[in-house]
Amino acid sequence: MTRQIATFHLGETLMGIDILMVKEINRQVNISPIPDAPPQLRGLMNLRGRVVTVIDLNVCLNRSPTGNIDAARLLILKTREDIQDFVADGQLEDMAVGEDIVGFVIDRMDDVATVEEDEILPPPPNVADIGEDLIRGVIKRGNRLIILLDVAAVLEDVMAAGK
Amino acid sequence: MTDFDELLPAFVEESQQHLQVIEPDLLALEKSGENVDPDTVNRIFRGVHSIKGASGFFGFQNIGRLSHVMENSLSLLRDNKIPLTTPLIDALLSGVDALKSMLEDISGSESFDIDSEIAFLKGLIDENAEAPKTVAVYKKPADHQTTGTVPAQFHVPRSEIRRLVEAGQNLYAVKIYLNEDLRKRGRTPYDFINNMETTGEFIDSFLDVESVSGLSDCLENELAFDFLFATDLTPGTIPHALDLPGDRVTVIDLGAVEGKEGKEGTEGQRDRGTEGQRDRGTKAGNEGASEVPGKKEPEGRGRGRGRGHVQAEEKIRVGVNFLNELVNLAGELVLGRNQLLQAALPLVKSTPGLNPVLQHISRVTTEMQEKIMQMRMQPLAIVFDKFQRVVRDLAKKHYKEIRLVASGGDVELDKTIIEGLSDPLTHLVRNAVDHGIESPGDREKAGKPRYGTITLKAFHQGGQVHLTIVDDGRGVDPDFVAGKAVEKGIISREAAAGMSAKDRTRLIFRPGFSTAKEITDLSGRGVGMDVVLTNIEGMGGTADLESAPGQGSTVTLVLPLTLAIVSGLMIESGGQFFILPEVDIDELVRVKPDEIGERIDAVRNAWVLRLRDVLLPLVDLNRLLGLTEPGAGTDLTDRDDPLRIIVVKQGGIRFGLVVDRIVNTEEIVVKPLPRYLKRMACFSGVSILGNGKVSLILDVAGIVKKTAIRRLETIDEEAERAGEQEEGAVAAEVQTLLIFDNDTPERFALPLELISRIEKVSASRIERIKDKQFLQYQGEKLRLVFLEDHLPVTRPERSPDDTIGLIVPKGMAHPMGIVFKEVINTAMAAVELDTASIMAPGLFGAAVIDDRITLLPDMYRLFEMAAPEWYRTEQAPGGVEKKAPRILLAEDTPFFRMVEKDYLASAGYEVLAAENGRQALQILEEEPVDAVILDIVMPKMTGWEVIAAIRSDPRLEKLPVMAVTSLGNEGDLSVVEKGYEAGFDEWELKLNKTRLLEKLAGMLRSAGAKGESS
Repeated sequence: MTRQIATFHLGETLMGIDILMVKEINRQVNISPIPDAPPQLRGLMNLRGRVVTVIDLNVCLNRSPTGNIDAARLLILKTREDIQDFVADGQLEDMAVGEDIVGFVIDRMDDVATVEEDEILPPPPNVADIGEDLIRGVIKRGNRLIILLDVAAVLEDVMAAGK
Repeated sequence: MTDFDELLPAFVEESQQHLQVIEPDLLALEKSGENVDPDTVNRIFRGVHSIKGASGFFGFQNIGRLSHVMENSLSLLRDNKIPLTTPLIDALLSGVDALKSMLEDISGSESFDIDSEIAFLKGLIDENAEAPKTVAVYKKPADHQTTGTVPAQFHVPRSEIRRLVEAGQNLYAVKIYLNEDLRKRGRTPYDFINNMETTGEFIDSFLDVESVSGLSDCLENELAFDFLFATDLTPGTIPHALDLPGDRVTVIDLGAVEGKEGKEGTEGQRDRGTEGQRDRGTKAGNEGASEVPGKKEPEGRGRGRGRGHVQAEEKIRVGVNFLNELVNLAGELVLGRNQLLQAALPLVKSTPGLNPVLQHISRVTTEMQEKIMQMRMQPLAIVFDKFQRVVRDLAKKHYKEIRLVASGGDVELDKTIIEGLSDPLTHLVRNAVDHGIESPGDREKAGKPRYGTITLKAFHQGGQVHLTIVDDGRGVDPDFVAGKAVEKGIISREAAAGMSAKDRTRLIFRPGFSTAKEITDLSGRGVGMDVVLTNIEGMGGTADLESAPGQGSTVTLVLPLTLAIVSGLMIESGGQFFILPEVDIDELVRVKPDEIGERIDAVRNAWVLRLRDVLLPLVDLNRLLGLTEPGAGTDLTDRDDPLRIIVVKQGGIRFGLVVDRIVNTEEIVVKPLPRYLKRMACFSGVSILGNGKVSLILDVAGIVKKTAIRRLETIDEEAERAGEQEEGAVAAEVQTLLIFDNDTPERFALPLELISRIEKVSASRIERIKDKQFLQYQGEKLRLVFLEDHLPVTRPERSPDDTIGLIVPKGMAHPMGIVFKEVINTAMAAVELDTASIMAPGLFGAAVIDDRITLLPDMYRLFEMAAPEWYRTEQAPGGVEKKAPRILLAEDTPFFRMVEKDYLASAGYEVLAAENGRQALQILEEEPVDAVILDIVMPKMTGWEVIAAIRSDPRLEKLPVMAVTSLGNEGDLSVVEKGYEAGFDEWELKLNKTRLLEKLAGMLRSAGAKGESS
């Protein structure tokens, strides 16, 4: 099965998630910070009347928090309800991504990569600095390596944060 | 998706709706006693019948079997073959319960053990009547799609056949196919049965389950159902009426069936024509109206079927999720509208025609939002109805006789609130049954009817819904509650002693309190009244309890109509906006920089606010949310801008929230907290503001938890005690004193409760007029009194560059202030007044406070000395020839007692002094007095209790009584009002000598006038 992966830059790393998961890319506007929140939670944003929880992916991946958030982009994800049809059609595996809209803070978008399922390789033992459990797999594109993110696992971590 | 999956939820839902109606009907039946109402029995019968029928569709044999037995016993009851007894109702109710649990777990329903329920019912039927004889009426033909089916038969009780014949009905066997006739045409089995019931009576259904090996098998094959259908329609019209092909209907010759029994066959036939005619008449216009479960319809048994004459309002089902989305969208629309108005307002003048359009959009938006909110509204009856059963079962179990009266079930509330109410209300009703209502024997002994009554009542008031739960039971004993609370360490013994009966009763709401002496089945299962209060407050409501021991108690709940839109106060803290729901707010307090030292204190490392008579714990929002700069001072008193405090209350705890700025109030649409923020204690939800920004809604309950509730409570306790001590209620000799100096070595102290305000002003603002000095203050000329001018104290050096302090006392007819230099402290101290060593006019005396000799000025005397023209001491009425009027003075604080006694004596009165209310009453018993002066807050008996005793004594009814207290100062007129209502003739503040004497004299004069004229 062919899949389309939206790729984006986060620091030195090229990362990817299935394009069916992406709602839109947004320049961050007017984020209200959440006082006393764990560092993963950068704030809340109004997206056409819906509340988006802005998550600092860098913190989730155990890196230092994104410095200049004003220059960053937001990768806004679909909710579980939004992806339901793709799941029903078998285009996407069901993921516990919840019904709240989240936006990941990223540096910038890159291309959309079309990959075959068998091109997605299991994550090698130590991919850069990222915890293995947060990676679905890796894709080799020429001399570049795309790290396919396990979105549900990342969100799970965020929820557990600040215990 | 299979056929069953599509139809099953509808079956479960509709069956549950039937049961919801059946249960109250059964209870009503039991209440009606001997006079069995046939309409009710019929309605129950029909409900059970429908369940039985539809269960046949799905092959739910357990549900079918049980409903069948229930149906049988109901038909026997209807025909007066068995009497209506409590065991029968019990058996039917337990049947209802079993059906309910099976419906809840429908896939597991076949594994339920319903033998006992069936045996219970069967036993009753067999005891009272023979099992109904059935007769085979129809041989089910082999299915046209499945081969090798065992032909089956419908068995119908003989009495049923006779009834049909008498009613002139025709009987048909109808076959339908699940796929072809229902699923493909979007109908549910219930739709079909309901449709059938509009034209006739559905008797029985049959699913040939033996022909299929299991559910999976039947899903793939076409399933056939056979119905037995009685109607007065002619064979030709049936296919049309049921919307089925003609070959599905077989006519059954009732005459022949009846004839098998060989009885009354011909008679039945003869009646047929006329009865049928009549039925056709009543039916006109009712074709096609679908049955709504629960609609009360008259149904005569002779007529076989009697559809309601009321056309049901057309309804469609909508999922709650869909509705919630609509509510959200409506909220968005309101926000969008607000933004539009803001943006368009400047253009209105230059754009003709814009304003009407804006107004139109605005109005339509508001209306639409209201309508959408209404869609979520549900009647309270949903909650109320289940209590009939709860009360019945509990009462029975505890051998009590209890009647539940519910009114206002049609009052509607938001679905969320209805759901949230269920638990707290159940607890309150259970409490009433368990602890409230006494046993019948005890009730008779107490002169009450054997039957206890619990009344549930709901009504609208002021845009909110009030809900009361009243019982006429034994009530709540405030002393018992207080004792328990002390025992459990919830409050201190001293605090309890100083509380009014009502407040003591309310201790029941405190966390950790449960009055159940032991854990019973009913209540006290770990959930107490505190949970009730928390739940209700969580929904933005309030709860209160009032009780008259021996006569019963009343719990009042006040609830908002809806949760989704709330009124909130927008506040700013640390540069961010937050919303505080208005329901949580008690009052707003602004403490000016120069008052901060005065009103803000630290008690055991926690900040407190001195608010009137109590100390309130303070929570600094900036600090709580980590919004302060690291390293910034945490000292609330160290600032030069005013302190803004919002006094909030939650679960019986009151505290002050310190914020940077109070912005405005706003109607906000509450959105749920994203799941990533669920761990954050301080927020309850989010909202999008008019400016498009997302704002967090503060959760007061969460803040209480986060700031360590225990500590707050301890402070609360200390505050309560402190408050009482100021009043001198507990430790009578302790007073709170404001200690200050006059830029000289001497120290002065004044009782804090006499002081209205303390101000800091520049000495340059003092204006001199001859030998008097004034200060313009809030539009008034405040006359200044300098201590050194009237008392034997050192004269300070004064310069116009100084900042001076001003003490403005309470209850002054003319604005006056005492000049001082610095506030040193406030102290709670037992004043041992030394009136001998330092004695001067305008001085009460001296006392040692904080190891220093401190002078206590007689404030009002000082004013008299400073402005004698304003004061004229009213002497006791009467003259030399008459005896001096005798005054009873009840005051627990020795200091005040001494001072007031002194005032009275100086004006020529004879004074009898009492240290508390009880002593005062004893004196009244023994000694004749002309007037009474009462303090309100006293130990043993409060002023309220004393006045009540005086006014209820015919001998003392007309005795002039005056309250002299520090309650009711500064515009708090409600207390004063209450005072007059309670029977006080006058109300005066403590230590205002002139007014005290004036009022006393006036009171005596009018009493004398009355006495002479009567």
